[in-house]
Amino acid sequence: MSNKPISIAILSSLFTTAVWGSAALANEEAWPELNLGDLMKVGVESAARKNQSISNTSAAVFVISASDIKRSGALTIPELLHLAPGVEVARLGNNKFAVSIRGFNGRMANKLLVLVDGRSIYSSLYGGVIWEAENLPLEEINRIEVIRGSAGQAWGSNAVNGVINIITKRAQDTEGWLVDTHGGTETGKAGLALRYGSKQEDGSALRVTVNEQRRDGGKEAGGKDAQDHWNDTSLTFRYDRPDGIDTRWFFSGRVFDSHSDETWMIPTFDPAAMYDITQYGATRITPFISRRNGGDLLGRFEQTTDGGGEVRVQTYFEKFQGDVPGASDNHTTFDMDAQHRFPLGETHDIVWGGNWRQTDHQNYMQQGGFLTASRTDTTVNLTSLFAQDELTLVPHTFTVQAGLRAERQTFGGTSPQPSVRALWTPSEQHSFWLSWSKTVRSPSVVQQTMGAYAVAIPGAPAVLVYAAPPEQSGFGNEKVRTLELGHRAQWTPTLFSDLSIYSSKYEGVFGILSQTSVPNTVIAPVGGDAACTAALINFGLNPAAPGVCVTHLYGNALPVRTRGLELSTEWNPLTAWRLQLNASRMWVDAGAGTPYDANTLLYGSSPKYQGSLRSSYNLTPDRQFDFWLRRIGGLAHASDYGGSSAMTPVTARTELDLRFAEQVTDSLELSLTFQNLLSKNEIQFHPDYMPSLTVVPQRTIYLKALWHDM
Amino acid sequence: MRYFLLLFLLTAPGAQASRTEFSAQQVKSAYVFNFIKFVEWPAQEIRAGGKVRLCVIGDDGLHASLIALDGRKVGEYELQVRRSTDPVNLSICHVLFIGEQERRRLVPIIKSLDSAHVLTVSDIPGFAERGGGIGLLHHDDRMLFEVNLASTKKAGLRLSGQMLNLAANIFGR
Repeated sequence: MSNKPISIAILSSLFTTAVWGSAALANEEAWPELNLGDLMKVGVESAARKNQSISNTSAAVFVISASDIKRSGALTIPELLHLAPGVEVARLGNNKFAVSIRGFNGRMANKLLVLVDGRSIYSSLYGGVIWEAENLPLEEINRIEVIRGSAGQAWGSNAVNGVINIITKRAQDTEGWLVDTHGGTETGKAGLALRYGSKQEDGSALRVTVNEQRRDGGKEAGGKDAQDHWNDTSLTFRYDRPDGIDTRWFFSGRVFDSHSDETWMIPTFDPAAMYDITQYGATRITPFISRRNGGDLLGRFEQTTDGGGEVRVQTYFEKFQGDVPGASDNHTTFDMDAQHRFPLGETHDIVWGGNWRQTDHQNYMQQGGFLTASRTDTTVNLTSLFAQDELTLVPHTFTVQAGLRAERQTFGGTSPQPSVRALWTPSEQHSFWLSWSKTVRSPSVVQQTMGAYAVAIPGAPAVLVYAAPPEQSGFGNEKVRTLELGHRAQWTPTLFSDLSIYSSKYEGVFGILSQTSVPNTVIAPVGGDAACTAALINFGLNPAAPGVCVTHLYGNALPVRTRGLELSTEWNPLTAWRLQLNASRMWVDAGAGTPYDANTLLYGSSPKYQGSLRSSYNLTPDRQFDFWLRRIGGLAHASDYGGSSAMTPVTARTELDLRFAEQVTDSLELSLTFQNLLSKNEIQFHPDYMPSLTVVPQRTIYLKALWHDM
Repeated sequence: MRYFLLLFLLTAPGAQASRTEFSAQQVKSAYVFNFIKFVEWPAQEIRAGGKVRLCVIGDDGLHASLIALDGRKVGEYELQVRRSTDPVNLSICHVLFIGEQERRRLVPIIKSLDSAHVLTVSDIPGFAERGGGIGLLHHDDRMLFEVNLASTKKAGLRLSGQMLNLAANIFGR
């Protein structure tokens, strides 16, 4: 479901180049005489093509172009994402990331939908994205569209706080050989991507890429080497075939194998510490390699119809296998998506369509593992229908758009997700937009079937079980209503700004339900509590073993309110110099008045402010210097975690990346990148979801060669 | 940290690139201007030495750039630049540039031209692939072009081989 109106409609409009009027014609006498051959060689300033138009978008959108990706020096998709304003990217070491938009961050941040060419990589098992399995070679990416704000009407559920839409290059645009290799320290240890693309006479094209990446482990808080290496191998292909004037086919696929080390600190029995997985009493450290492999295949058909409409049908199949101790995530997904867009009269533009997806999870929790659920096989179905109409009231000046999606998910039931948007473009230099929308997040399998989660370590002295019958909590959809206002302006031919202001009201955010005791737990010796005994037997554990059963009731517990603003600006002081300044500020008000103070949970994952200054400068036509400074602040207070200070994430951090690149020959570019230069051995984010050992990201230095035979 | 800022300030505002860089607008204009030299319209449409009517819709900036070229000689022709807002009359253009602002009406426009002798050019992504004549595309920091031969043939236009040799992609061959 890449589809959606927003993709085609809204985003491509961002790609207009600036309306620069006659100022651009300083050397008008010279340029028309350039011949075609010359034209193909001249550098186009700000080829990024973004942020320069007064775009016709009634949503907060930021586009990361292929050139941004290259110049960022990032080696993974998560690291790229903080190019966009309002996106928080924290590293939990060298192979784990927490990525989120507008708060609620975490390793399994579940309020953000991520798609690769329309294929959802949002895990219906955990909720969130398993970034360790997303190793798409960065040279394959055409652009990444980052849409902030709730977008369920256009993109479906889980687009609660935003959508990240990764779009790969057409095979026609990747002809010939390409070698992308690097070597260095830490996350930049070694990498090799090899690509070959070939075009046929009929306009069709095929490319195949093999990619191998190796990343070293970081350091533990105490300075010891951490076991968090990450190696992955993948094979990807893409085939594009135009068929006549009106029809296009596109097929893509990949197989991958990813190994990432992890060390878990599993609590042994300590009643004082068990409320909070982040503070361990006695602990046992278990290093292991989690292995994730699988593949996917996607096909898309697009046709422009005689009436001036467009039809698009897409389907994909995915198989995924992931193993961590005591749990495995094996699933297959089949997805079909169709949409039809057509103009109606002079003023209406209608898009409607539907989506059906089935994910079969098998053996996703082994008996007696760290996490144990009450069912082992689950099928999650998702069905949705949507329609929207964009009505032009004053051509090129005022449009309104209204739409509705009705979606049904196995656990969440049926939910309507409406949106209303308006765009006013009073002049070529300014545009204003306003939107109201409602989006839901559907429950993940783990959340829904978590009859209990348990720690049962063979040979360990105690069995610790957290049990919570889901029937009691009746967990359903989280809901959010968001009101947003935006302004874009091309102040001068070289200065652009984009501001958005939002207010979101969440209902029923997943958490511990309020009850009589604080925190809401019931402690009973194993065997003394019937529910606990039943749970233990259900998990294949010995109910007579020494241990404790703690019952947490989870459910749609928390009302949360967030407000914030995001600003992104771009200034080209010289044709060879581009400056981008992004800043965002957010306020969170969560669960006030509930016995369990939800604010402590949310503040640490919702930075109050973020800022980023990026400079892309061409020292000479063949030499680039890039500078990227980031500041993330207003995170959790140290006291919130209570644990030892050595394990406490920083409340604010400053990050600096530098990159120097030289085009040595027409086909070879060498670059040297420094990442995380200001690192003070600080912990960026606390491990959550899984009890991983806290790892401190280190500085990375790597040398890269990019060669292509064109 | 302060040190790096200093380093940045010292290195950043150095000599301006010696290679001439153009704005995307300039390059687009130059492409459109140059394409005309490599296209032959049916003889009944334009006589040698005749006027080539160039229309721009949905891109006011480009129109402003091109209007400066009104009356100039381009190849064997004389250029006449028009801004058309009337979709019914688009078939009177010899060259039609369709800008982003008309993205939504792209397909109806292409369909309405049918086999009229119009060379369509656009920088809307996927233009040539979707039945347009010549599409401009960004590749790294360059602007390239791709051609849909089926479309240009349908419009009765002959494109020179020299131009086709330079095209990044050719569809509908």
